[in-house]
Amino acid sequence: MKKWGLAIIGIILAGMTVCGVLGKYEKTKAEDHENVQITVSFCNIKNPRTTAIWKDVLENLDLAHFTVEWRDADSDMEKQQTDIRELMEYSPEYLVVMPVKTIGLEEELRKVSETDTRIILLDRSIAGSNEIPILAEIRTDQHWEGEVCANLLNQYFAGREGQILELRGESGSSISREHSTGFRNQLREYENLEIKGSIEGNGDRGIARNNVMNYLLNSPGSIDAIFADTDEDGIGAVSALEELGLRGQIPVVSINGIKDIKTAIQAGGYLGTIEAVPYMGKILSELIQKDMQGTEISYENILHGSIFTKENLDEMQGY
Amino acid sequence: MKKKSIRDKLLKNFALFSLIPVILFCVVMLFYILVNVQEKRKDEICSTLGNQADQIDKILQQAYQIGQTVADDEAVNQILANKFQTEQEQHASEIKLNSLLLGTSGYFDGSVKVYIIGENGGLYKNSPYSLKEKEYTQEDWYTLVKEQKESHWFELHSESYFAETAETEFISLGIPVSEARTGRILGCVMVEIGVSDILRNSHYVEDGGELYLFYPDTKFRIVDEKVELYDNDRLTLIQKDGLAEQEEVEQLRPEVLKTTKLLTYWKKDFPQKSFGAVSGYMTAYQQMDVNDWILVYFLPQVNYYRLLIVVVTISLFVTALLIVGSVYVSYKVAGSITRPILSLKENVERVQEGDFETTVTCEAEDEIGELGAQFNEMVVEIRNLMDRIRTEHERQRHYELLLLQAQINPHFLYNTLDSLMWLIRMKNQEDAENMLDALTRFFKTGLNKGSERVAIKNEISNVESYLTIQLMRYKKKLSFSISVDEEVESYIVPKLILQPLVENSIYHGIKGKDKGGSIEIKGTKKNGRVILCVEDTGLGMPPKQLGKIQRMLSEGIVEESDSYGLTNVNERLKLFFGEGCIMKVDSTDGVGTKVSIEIREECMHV
Repeated sequence: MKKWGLAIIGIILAGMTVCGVLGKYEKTKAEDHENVQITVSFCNIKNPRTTAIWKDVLENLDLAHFTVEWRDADSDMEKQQTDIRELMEYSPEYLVVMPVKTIGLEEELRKVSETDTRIILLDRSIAGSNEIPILAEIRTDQHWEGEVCANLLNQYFAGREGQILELRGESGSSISREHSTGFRNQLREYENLEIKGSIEGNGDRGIARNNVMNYLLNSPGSIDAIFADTDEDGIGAVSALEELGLRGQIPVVSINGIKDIKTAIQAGGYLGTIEAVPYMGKILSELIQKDMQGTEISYENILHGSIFTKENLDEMQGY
Repeated sequence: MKKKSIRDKLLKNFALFSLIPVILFCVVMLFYILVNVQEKRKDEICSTLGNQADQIDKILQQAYQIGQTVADDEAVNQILANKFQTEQEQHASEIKLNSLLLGTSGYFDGSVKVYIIGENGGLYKNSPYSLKEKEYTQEDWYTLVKEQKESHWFELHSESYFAETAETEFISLGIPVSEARTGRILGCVMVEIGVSDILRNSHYVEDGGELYLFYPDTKFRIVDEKVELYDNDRLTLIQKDGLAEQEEVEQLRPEVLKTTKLLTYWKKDFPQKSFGAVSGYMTAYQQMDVNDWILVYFLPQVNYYRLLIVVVTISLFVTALLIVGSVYVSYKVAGSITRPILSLKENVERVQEGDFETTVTCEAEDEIGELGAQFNEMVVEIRNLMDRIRTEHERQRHYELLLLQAQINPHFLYNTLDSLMWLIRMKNQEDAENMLDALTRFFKTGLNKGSERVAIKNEISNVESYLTIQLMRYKKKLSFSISVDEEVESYIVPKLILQPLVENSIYHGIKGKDKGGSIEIKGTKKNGRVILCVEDTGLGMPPKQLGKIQRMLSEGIVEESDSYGLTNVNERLKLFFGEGCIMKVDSTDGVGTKVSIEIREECMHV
């Protein structure tokens, strides 16, 4: 009987081992994540600028032989929250975030800050960044970009009065806020110019086109120029003007420096664009390498672009 | 007949009645899982694939309509037919046509992007993405559409033909734009559809299956005036990290190509969708309506049946465990029942062999425990009985020995031999011979060849011999008579039961009486009793002595005293006949004594 008893215990243990291994295998299969060094959460990859940023960042991180995992939030804040949680499962050393909006990521980033992962903001800022330990920010001088647009319009109007229609960019983004703040602050310097109206473009040429068209149909002849937060909004505005036969009569100025704007400037009726440099990958890669080596890095890393108008269009490459 | 042990019977029955339900249960459960779980799995796969195919179909249909509409649009025709004088004019046309395309974008899915390439160098789009810098009119796909002069579906490709984008899977449709009047090709409308969101399904990855887009070649060609099916089927594998085209699939998955050969779409009764096992794969497919492409999902059968295999394995293991458990429990239970019985059996066998010291140890508190306890009591009883018998036997032997010793009383022997000697000296040869003969008979019958039992007639013979000897010594004082019924002569009694009584009569009754006396020995049967009686006309005994003797007889006391012979006989009779025999003594002082032995006839044997 002792032999029988031992045999039974042996069978039970073997069975439990098999079940345990099977269960662990299933669990491991489902949940296994290799640790990566850098994770990146992009706000979206649906326009030339964000696509250029995405491409440049991944190429440069790959050149530096970092292991990378990334997600596209598709302009959805809730998705970006989920993306960040998923990315943290990879236990990264660095989390690079391109926030969809200024507000909405505080909770997630606070949790990230409680781990060993360091946070870098890319292209955009968040509200309350004082309370969350951010390693660095890499962006363009969005305030300056807005100011330059105002200057361009001032140059165009050369003292004449001008009613400006502001076409706001992505709702809630720091870029839109900074562009608008910079533009408005600078515009105050020019008494002949004032903002007649402010409508939403949301960084989408289709939305911008429709809203500009509606505005112009409802208030014909009320505006003399359009300040578009981004080139996408600007293209939408130009499309509306084209359809209404007003292209060339109402100039448009915008920020980003994409190729379509070069076409629009070449076609006429587009005043100019302020380049918002998308090539942040190299700076990001170098910054991380420095930090890994213990070298002191600067918190703010600001990129300045160029101003392109018809006069220097040959210099513009666009992206 | 072969004996069957209780344990084997119990084991068989226990095992049978516990195993059958277990096996039945496992079979039913397996069947249930096979039917329900696997069926659900199949439905899930077919449903997912069907949804994907339907979505792709819907979007391709949309793309075709859009592309055709754009290609047929008069404004598009005009712009493409234009020869631009300046770059500005070209760019202006781009702004114009792009605006037009942007205006229509709201009417179709955002994943559908329309690009127009003009022979005149114009490039137009509704996509927000920047165009790649290249000569589009030199691209293979453009040349193909231009030469075929008809719309053409392009296989899945991982990069957009036009824009830098994060999208990874595209299907493209090229539609030529031709001048209505001359038929000259003005350009091409390319509708590019991003299908990553539709094709990527994490369930497939988890299941270990693979999704393919199969492009059956439905063209016919005529060779030697015969119609031949142009067999140039191709397919693309949608991998986790990209696409694998035909050539790569040929290297990676040659077995899949064999399987896809079985998608005989050219058969008249080819079902548009199906699910089944093909060459080691579970295959689900659905053909699309818009361009006859077939979306195929291959899942290795091992992966498809994985759940079933796991369940079967666990079931078999559980069944084996239950079987082992059942057998073990059966063995234990049967053992708990049969072990005490076997122990009892062994002890009975030991008792059979004569070991009465054995005891059954049974801790069970059931009937078997009771049986064991009762067995122990029985063995103790037997042991006690045997001890009693042995003791009685020994006592009987002891008494016989004593009696024999008494019989071979030196005084008696001495006196008898002395009497013999005198007879010989007196030359009374006849009397001497008679006396010697009687002595010989006396000892012979007394010894009785060692047997403790004699027939009454032999006992009478012994007494007669004794009396014959005594008569020669006490001839003037002693006389005797023996009267034994013939019917009691053959009854068996212990030997030497009458001689001591006669001896007592002589020495305690007649010898002391001046006138002497007689001894009468009778043997009769009366009222179901055999009565042996020794009566003398001797001195008798006083009541006190009589009472004492009667008490001794009733209490079975045997002691060395004048009445030793009486009590010895009484005790031996008790040992032999038990309560079926009583000895009575009756005496009158000065008259005589009568000793009767009454034995119940049913205790007597011949």
